[in-house]
Amino acid sequence: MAKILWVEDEARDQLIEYIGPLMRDGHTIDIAEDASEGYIRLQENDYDVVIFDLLIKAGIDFEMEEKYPGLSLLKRLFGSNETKIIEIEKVMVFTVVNDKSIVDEIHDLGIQNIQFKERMEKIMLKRYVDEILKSK
Amino acid sequence: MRKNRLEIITIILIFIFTLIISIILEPYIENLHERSLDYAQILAEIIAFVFILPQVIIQLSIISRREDVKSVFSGCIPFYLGYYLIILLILSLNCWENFSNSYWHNLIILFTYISAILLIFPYLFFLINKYSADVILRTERRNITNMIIKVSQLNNKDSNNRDPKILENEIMTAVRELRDYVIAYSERSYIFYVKGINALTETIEQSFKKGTQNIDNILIEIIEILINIGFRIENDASRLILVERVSELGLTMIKDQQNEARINLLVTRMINLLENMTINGSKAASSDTVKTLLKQIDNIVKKCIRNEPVIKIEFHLIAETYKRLCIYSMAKNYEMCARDAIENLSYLCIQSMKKIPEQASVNKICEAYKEIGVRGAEIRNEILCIQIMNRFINIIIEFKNRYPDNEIEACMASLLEFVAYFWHGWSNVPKMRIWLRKRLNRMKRENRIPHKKYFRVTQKILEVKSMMSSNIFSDFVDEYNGEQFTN
Repeated sequence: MAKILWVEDEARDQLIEYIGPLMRDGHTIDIAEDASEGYIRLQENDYDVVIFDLLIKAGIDFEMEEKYPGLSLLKRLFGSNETKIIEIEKVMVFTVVNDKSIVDEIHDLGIQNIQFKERMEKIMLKRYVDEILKSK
Repeated sequence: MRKNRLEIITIILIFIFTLIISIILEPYIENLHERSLDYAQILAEIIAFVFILPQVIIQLSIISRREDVKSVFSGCIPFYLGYYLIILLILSLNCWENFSNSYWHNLIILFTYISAILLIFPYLFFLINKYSADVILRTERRNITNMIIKVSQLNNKDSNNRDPKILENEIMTAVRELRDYVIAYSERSYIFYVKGINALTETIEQSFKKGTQNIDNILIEIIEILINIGFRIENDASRLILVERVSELGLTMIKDQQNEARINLLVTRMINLLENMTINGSKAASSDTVKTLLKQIDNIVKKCIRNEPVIKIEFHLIAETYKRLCIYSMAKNYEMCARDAIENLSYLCIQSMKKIPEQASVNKICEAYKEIGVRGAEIRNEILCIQIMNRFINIIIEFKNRYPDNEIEACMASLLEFVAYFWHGWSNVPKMRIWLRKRLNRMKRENRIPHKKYFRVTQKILEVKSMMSSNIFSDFVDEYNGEQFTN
């Protein structure tokens, strides 16, 4: 039974189907709809798995210059000068952005687990989460 | 609807009246000079074209989008217009030529001419009626504009030097006058409705900022007036605006951070009124309205909890609000809203445990989850039952870990009561019962909360609380232990 944070603005509507299999496994899934909310939630709680989208809204308290607020959030969390509030092994990027330069930037932050949403079965998110939980 | 009814009755009366006159006059038609019939036809056609054609053009053209033009001409559609068009068609095509039988031939001629002439009177009646309504509307608009200006002026800086008592009276009088207009405009003019709501909320906002605790009762009264508007209006879109505007007001009050007691008094009452309006309004609130309200309450809760120091509002009342909104959403089949409410309730509980343990009211929240869960089991919504179960267990684990000295019996009793209803609700779905059993066993294994240990105490609590729950629980325990034994 894991606590999962999903930083995703479409998790409550278009992507809701991905949540069902995770719930059936007994997990609790918190949803942060923007980068700002995601950052605060990570400070408020300890999560076993954190799933990030890149194309999300910035949110009211989060200033950023990036095209992808999700990437800015990752930089704030895992940039070289930042104090880590979450272990990198618990992190997965789940996005439609399949751009090599962006992928390289994420890899440079130390995050290896990047999954693309394209044509993905609804059960796949649960499988990725299971892999992260097993590797712990 | 009342207007349409009047129209239909008028048309039916004219139809019957015309038919009777036609039948009475039919034997005398041979004596009429042929030229008189020609004149009658021309007259009927002129009337039809002069009065009906502009109607058709206005209704179908772009002009009809203009509210004022539309309001003048909307008095006699669609029934009246339809009837008149049929008469016009019969006149233009001389349809009576098709009737060989002279009785029917004469009857249809008389009926058409008389109809064409008689229909002009209700048309004029509708037109004059509508025109005078439009004149009233224009006058009211001037009045509402003046009132909005008046209310705004009461809020500006000149009012600082006035006697607070007089100012309060002036504000209340202006607000009450404005309320009646806002209600009237909620169904008629979107722009004026929004302006009215904004004027009222700004009044509260400004008065809150400038005022002291003395003015709060007045402010609550204005909030009640606002919610009263929500109760009366039937248009859900207008109600949604009210929910958004009033809850934004709550956020502004919190940001202002003047006085915790004042914020608590106003914000809690405001949320309670909004919930009441959404659930008990004259017309059922849409899922959009419920979703927006849940989102706004969540924003208010987060703003209070994340503030340093935490702004203490009556979180246990907010938890009750979440519960009622969740049960309402389940009844209306708004599954997404119910999911949001369950999640929000969990956030409220866990964060209050962390930041304001003296106000956490975990037992009450567990009781709320139980009530939601029982409803979820009754409507047999699989995903909601699973979500409640996970969140419920999560809260108990958090409670146990944070306060190891505290007893979790009451929480476990609520959980197990829900579990019994869950078990009972899915009696013919083994898959769900297996899931439930696995979930409880995982709680025992991973979190060291042996659920069976609490069976006896739960039974005792339920025997006092509810006979029905006690029986359901007793059956559950028998079946659960029995099934496990056979397995």
